[in-house]
Amino acid sequence: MTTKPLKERVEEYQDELLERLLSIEVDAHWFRRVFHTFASCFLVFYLLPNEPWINLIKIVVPVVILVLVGIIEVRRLGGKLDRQYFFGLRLYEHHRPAGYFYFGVGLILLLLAFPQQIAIPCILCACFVDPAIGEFRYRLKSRTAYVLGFVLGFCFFLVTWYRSNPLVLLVVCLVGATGAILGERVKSSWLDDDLLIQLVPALMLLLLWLGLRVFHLDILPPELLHPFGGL
Amino acid sequence: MNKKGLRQAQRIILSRRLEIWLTPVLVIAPFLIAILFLIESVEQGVLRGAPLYEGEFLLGCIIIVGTLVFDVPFLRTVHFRKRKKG
Repeated sequence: MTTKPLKERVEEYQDELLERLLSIEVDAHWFRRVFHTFASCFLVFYLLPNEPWINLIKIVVPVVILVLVGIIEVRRLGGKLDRQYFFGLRLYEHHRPAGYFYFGVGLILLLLAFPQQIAIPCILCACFVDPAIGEFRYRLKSRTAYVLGFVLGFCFFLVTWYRSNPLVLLVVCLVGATGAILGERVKSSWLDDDLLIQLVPALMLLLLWLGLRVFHLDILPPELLHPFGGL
Repeated sequence: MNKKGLRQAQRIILSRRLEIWLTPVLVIAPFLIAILFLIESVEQGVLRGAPLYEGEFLLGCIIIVGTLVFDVPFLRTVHFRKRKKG
């Protein structure tokens, strides 16, 4: 009995592995859904310590990432980057910026320009309510899907504002969840719902908060997340 | 095409299929972040007795449950394409 030389066996193993990897099939529909849930990772932003140099990094890194994504999108739309690289792209995204770019813009605006009490539930809505409504729409009537999405969004605002007084809590949950559903429902060829589901409720709550501050009423509860190292 | 050329072509195709490389990151990263939230909540809130650390706990739970709801059906759709015989 003869044994193959080691080099030949390694090559055979590599070929086998390559073939196995190439035979992996990923479902585009669920891939898009999981991309949404992945964005919840960015909430780690609020755990980063409040040191001056880290605060600078907190601004620079997201902006650099967004600029890089913008460059990639410009190259794709200009035809310089093959569409093959963009798995799960929808047909209508072939000639306009893709959803993930809008998602990134919304996410970075929320992280950098809004108080975390407003930003966190809006990000959660984009991460979980948006794909949930999409799935509900597949299985149920469109109206039922939006009602269930509203309830889910309501719960996220409830969880993040639970330290407010009950009346404020009720108003904020209603306004926030309504904003999220409005953002999700708006269909525009140039503004994606991934952006609007984050920005519409955030702007509505920001206006509410700033408006009430004119009357010396601060409805913002204490911050939900705290940087590493304790209070 | 000889064997070496075929292997090179396969490697190029594989490098372009970003979904294969991204899948482990998309699936695992949210769990790691959620665990970080939970550890921070337990360490600061329970072990050191600092109040106001329920937020980390709640968000950790939301991320784990929300991610599981979408990851399980996603992973069930990932499969190996059947090879052609012969």
